[in-house]
Amino acid sequence: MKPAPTNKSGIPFGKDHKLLRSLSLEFTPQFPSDESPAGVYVHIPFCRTKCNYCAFVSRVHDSEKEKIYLEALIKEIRLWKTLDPIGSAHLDTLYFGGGTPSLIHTDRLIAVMEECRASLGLAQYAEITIEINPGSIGLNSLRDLRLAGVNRASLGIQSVDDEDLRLMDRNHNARDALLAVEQIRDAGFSNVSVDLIAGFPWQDLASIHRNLRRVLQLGPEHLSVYLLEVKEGTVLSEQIRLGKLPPVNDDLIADMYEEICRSAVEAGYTQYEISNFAREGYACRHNLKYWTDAPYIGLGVAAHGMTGRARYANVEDLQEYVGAVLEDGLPRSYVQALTPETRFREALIMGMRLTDGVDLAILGRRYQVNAAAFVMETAGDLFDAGLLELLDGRIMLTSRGRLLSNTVFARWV
Amino acid sequence: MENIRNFSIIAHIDHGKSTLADRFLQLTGVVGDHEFHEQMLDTMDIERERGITIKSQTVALPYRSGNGKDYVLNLIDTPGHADFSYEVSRALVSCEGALLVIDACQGIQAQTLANFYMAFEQDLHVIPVINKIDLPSADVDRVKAQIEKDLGLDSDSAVAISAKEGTGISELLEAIVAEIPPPKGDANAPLKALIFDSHWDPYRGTIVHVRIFDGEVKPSDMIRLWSTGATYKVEETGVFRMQRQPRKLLKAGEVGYVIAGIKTVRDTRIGDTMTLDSRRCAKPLAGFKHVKPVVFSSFYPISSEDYDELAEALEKLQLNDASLTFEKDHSVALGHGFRCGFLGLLHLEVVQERLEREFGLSLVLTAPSVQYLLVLRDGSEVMIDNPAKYPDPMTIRETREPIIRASIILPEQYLGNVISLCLERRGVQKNMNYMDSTRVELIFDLPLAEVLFDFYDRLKSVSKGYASFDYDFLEYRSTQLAKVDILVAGEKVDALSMLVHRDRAQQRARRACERLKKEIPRQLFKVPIQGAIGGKIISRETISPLRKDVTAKCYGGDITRKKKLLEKQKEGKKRMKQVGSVSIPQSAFLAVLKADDEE
Ligand SMILES: Nc1nc2c(ncn2[C@@H]2O[C@H](COP(=O)(O)OP(=O)(O)OP(=O)(O)O)[C@@H](O)[C@H]2O)c(=O)[nH]1
Ligand code: SF4
Ligand SMILES: [Mg+2]
Repeated sequence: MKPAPTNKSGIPFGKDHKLLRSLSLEFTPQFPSDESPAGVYVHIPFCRTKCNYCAFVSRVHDSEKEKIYLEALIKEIRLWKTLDPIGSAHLDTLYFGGGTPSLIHTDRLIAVMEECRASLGLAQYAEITIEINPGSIGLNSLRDLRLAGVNRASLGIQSVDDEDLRLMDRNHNARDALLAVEQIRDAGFSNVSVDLIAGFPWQDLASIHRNLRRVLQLGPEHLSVYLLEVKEGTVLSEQIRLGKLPPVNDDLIADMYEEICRSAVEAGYTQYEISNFAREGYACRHNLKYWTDAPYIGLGVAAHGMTGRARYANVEDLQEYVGAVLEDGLPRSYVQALTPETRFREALIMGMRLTDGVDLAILGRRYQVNAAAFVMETAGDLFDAGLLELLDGRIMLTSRGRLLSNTVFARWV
Repeated sequence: MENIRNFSIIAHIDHGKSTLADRFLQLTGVVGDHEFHEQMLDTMDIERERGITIKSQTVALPYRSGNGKDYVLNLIDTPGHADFSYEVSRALVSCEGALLVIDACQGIQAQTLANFYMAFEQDLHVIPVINKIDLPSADVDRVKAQIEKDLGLDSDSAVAISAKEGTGISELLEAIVAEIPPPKGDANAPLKALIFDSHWDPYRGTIVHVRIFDGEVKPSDMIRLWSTGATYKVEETGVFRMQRQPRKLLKAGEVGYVIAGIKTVRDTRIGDTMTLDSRRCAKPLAGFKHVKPVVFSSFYPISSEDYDELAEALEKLQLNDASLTFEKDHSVALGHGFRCGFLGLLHLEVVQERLEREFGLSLVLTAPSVQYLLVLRDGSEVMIDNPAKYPDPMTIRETREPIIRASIILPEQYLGNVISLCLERRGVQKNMNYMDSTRVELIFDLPLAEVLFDFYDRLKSVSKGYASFDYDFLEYRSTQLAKVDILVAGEKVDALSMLVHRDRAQQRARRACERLKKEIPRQLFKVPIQGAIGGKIISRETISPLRKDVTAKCYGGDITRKKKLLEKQKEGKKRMKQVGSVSIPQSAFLAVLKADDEE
């Protein structure tokens, strides 16, 4: 069939296009009839030192606390088993995030992993990722992890410029980062991701370009690029408030972002999400759970989960967390029931972060609604504005739209 | 009646009226030490924040004099700022005397003179009070000389005090008892009372503030309001002691309040006479000189659902502030609102703030304007204060604008600066006289429109705070007016239009565009902002399109927080005014009105 004629932004011409013809005001979504395989996120709230931009739940590492915390984690996993709210869905990803999971004694991480296998039924072939900071782990430990089944390493490099790293209060230099990549490879990891942050007030286009080039030379399978957000309460925001650093320049950050996307794609990576790039076949399966409306379990302090019928978050305080778990209680700070409608909206918002966007027919079928009509009604004007486009039944963000995605998503909350 | 003294405290702004009232309250034991805080009578938040008095306040002080007799001193603390001189004139009508407070360092200033003349016209006994003698730069002798020369009063009658430290307060209380005459009036005659103020109480309805000139009033009396002929049954009478304190009756000479089940705000008029329905007085009191608003602006609720609430809030404020006027207005950009009239820009700000604070409203205001007189080609005359009503310029034969006569008192070393400021504001110098060897009084005729906008601030800054200023309306004079329109993304935003002198048009238009550019958040599209007279563009700015609004970071699946941010963003947008395709925040409308800070 000949595709419907479209204009530059991809919006179909004419009232007769089948998407527009099906405009209906009825809107009563249903929960999906089945769920995709779920993921597990484990939060490790320790770091050697605190970076100046950091607003994550993480504290300075101490081995006594580590021991107590990791024991509590095992306990939380067992509690899950008795409650089993995800139902029969199986788990096929595990992600140790933080904080700095690579600071934790290898045996303890492995114990958590084993507990997930035993109690939650984590699949044998699961993608298991660990976040690593340069200088926080040695070759032997990396080997142990690899042997125990960890098959993906996500390295928080952030920059390969020593001055950058110093200004960020990172506790490693560029050499440590290069060494870390080497050791990760030596330990047998064939799926390596690196993180980069762009947008610090002292950075410019050239420095970002340089940085990215050197990072890509390391040959990672996967690349995550985060744009700096200055969060209240961080040292960085204080430095800016006091005028010690200039405020961030959003236009410049936009330029950096475009530069990064272009260079990464030129280097053979596919941008599959607003912040993520991968070589063919190396997209992060765990993070895809968030973007494809799949359930996930969050374990540990400040971890978040989505069970299909509810979202929850764990308490952020370590002591409170340990206390709750030891008393056989779930350490929740909140549990919020989801309605089919909120799930639908969240699925749309999260799905739109993906470069390929959302297949409206599939999404509509999944939630028993006319997703196309909903999108046209709520954001039809954003096609003309050049933020959204429609291709083969999928809506997606344009490259401009990616940089303005919150403006788009605000239509759907 | 012999033991009653009714007096106001009047002065130039900041000379220490409210602080003096504090001392009276403490010394007469009306407030105890632990309930005391500074400037007790400044009860509104906005008064406390700005450290100025806006509303007159009445208190009855019980006082045992050195002669052993008990007195009731009815004190009215008044505002010093020129915008609120109406409050002073009203207060004075209920008094037999006035304390004219003069700052010992600053000496006699413009409002000292203005307020003194008001008291003088009312035939009040004026006691000069030299305040702040605790300050090192206090110069009592100099102020005494000024009292003799500028006011023509006997400086021996002046009482030197420090309101802050409490020095001289007992002497002053004695002087009040000894010098201010007791009220006259006939307690047996029919009730004749002056309504000099009122306010709204959510539980009791209108609380009417009265000065009784003849007769008496008590609960269950049927009262009659002269101007409307409406009658009400009195529920409660009493006096002000910080709080209301019920009394069995109020009689001739006294100042207090009457509650009479007056439920609708419109039924009381400040300046009206209250009498008994069964026994009316022969003729009403003179009331007050009607004050006319001089500056006008339209108020619109940000959310059009708040229109009724705004209407009600304005009515309630008006009860407490008779100088406020308002009528319905409509804007294409902003919907329904009110055209409000004020005594000055500070008055406007106060009303705006009170509406926002006390009534929880969010408002958008249009550029304040004075009232112009247009003589049309067909010979008819119209008064215009609203750019929206400005007729086709082709139909106008002549435009006239209000001119004031200003008196500016200043130390001579700032003469050059102040004269240039006045000339820059299209002023015409009329006179200049040396009040003593260093102080000069300048008389200038100035267009009111030039004085309203940041003139005070500029005067203060060019004279390092030493020049003071007072004015009276003089007449209408011919002028050249232009209506400047502002276009946002090609659409005229009627609420941003302004009437300005032709020579100022370019500058004001440019400034408006610059400010809008700063305040309007970047949109998805490029947004041109233009100033225009008729079809001619006279200034232009461009807001470049928004490029970055993205959360690019790792998740750990915390979607809730992200959604909260998005929701906030969505809410923020709802609170903006949608003009065509552009969302304009309230702050943008307000920024256009702001006086210049640079230059
Ligand atoms: N040193 C000193 N300061 C004083 C004295 N009396 C008042 N002040 C200060 O002068 C400032 C103004 O005092 P207010 O009592 O608010 O003046 P006001 O005349 O009521 O002012 P408006 O109501 O705004 O006209 C305050 O900071 C007082 O603390 C005094 O006797 N000595
Ligand atoms: S390593 Fe990550 S979590 Fe730890 S302090 Fe730095 S930014 Fe925060
Ligand atoms: Mg005061």
